[in-house]
Amino acid sequence: MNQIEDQIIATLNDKAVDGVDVADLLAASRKRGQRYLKRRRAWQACGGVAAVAVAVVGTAAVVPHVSVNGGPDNTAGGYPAANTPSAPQQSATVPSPPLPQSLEPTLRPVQGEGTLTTFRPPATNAPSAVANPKVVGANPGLLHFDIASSVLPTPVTLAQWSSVDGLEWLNVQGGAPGTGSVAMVQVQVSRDRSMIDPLSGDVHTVRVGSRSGSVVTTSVGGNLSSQLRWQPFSGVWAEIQAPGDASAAVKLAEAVTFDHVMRCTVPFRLSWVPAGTTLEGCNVVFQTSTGTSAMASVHVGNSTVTVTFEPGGTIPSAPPTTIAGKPAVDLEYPGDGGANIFQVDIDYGDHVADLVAEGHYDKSTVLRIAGGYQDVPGSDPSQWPASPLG
Amino acid sequence: MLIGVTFEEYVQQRGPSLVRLAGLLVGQRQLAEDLVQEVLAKAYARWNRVARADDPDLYVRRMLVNEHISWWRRRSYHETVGVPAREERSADVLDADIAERDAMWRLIMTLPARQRAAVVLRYYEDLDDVRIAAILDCSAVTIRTNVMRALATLRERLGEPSADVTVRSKR
Repeated sequence: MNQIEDQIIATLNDKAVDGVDVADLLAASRKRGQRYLKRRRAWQACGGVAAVAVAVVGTAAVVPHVSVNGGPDNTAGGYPAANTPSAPQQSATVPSPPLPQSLEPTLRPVQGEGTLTTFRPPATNAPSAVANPKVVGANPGLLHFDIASSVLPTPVTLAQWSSVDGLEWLNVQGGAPGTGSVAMVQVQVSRDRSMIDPLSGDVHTVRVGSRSGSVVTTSVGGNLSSQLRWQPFSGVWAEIQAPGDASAAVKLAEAVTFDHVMRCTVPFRLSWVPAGTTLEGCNVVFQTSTGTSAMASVHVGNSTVTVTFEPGGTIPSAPPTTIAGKPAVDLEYPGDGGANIFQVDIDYGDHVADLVAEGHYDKSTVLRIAGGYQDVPGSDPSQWPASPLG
Repeated sequence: MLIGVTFEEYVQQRGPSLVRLAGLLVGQRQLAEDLVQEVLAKAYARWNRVARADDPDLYVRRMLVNEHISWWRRRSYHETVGVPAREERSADVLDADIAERDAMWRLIMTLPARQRAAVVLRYYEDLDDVRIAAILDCSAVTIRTNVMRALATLRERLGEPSADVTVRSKR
């Protein structure tokens, strides 16, 4: 050991932080980790597109296309804002404007993929992000942004809308007909910049309309993809991840709108939940391959129960029990983070209802919630309940 | 080795050590805690896999160092590195030892991320070259090279002769 090494050791020992609050560290890390898990589960709810991320395989042609929407409805704004104590009160006196004509359907099929009959959830008359930025992320039953599908780079085969933990997002997956290519566009919107994915790489400044933005463009296998973050207006952060260079990302970002609201809605309701149960998150996926899937997570006491509607799902061939007269299976196993998870799957023939409980759950309560699971018939999201809680 | 521990047990046993390591890597306590939270959150989300690793602590420390290097590469973060908490303090009001350590600390903070990580793991964590190489995902020879270059840089910036720069392998 020479003198400079001694100096280094003395310096590092002197500068090392002390007094670490382990309880705080554990709580904060666990909370972030649970956020990661929720996002991952939301991804998994649409059949494993998670692995695709922002990847672009092959060269996607720019084809205007897709989307259908029932336009504004008269349903009061999404799930009750009372579920989130800090959520601003919604006022019926500040209605959203009608869905712009530019967002109205221009439905086109994707060859070999069938037709995506629904691109976005139903609109609702609730205060928009433009009218009040504080509504963004405040109610997991509402989505406060949209994108003109005509600017998306390929015909759409999957559209996933989600709202959880203050973050609203859209994943769009599509492919150019006959090329076998897959392209993905993701939009994230939040009032909290830390909720959206950080930029990673060399950051450049661009203009998004009248606002400045930060963009990172990377090349993987010769294909460019860009990640663009901007503030469409004060108090709201948005990010778009898309194939192509920075100018392509800017074009998409400029097509994101914040002047109307949609309901993040699911095709089921829970007819019984314990008093005090609140909605934590919502996720709905429209896709050509398997139809609609959806997920809602609810806070029950000190536990979270995530309920997923999975079309075409299966459960073990010899289920040991029945729930509401349907074949069902329940099992408990160690989950991520080390704590146990309790899972209940109910087989409805053409789909499976899957309930996953985490935290300090009570099995009998979870089973009772499962027993109260009810499908909502029909594939029209505008006919689905305003809330799965009742 | 901490094999098979729960996430909670791991954080309780190793959390303070991770924050100390992160603090020496990033130079600021708040950033260090944020870095460790980020890494532990990612570990939480795949704890089954982490806990099944041959050495979960090595796994997490590798995540930490990689995350730090990734942060360091980002311009916004890079710009904040190298501003030690005591920089504004005048050396003439401190004793010589403290002034010397502050000077050394500022210099360590200017090292490239991988060199800094190698130095911290070697001289603070007291790890051998093989274990440092496992964390930084390179060979033990590369570790010695990184440390040697770091020492040469520190000596040069301290105005000391470079002839004394020797790095023995640590086993």
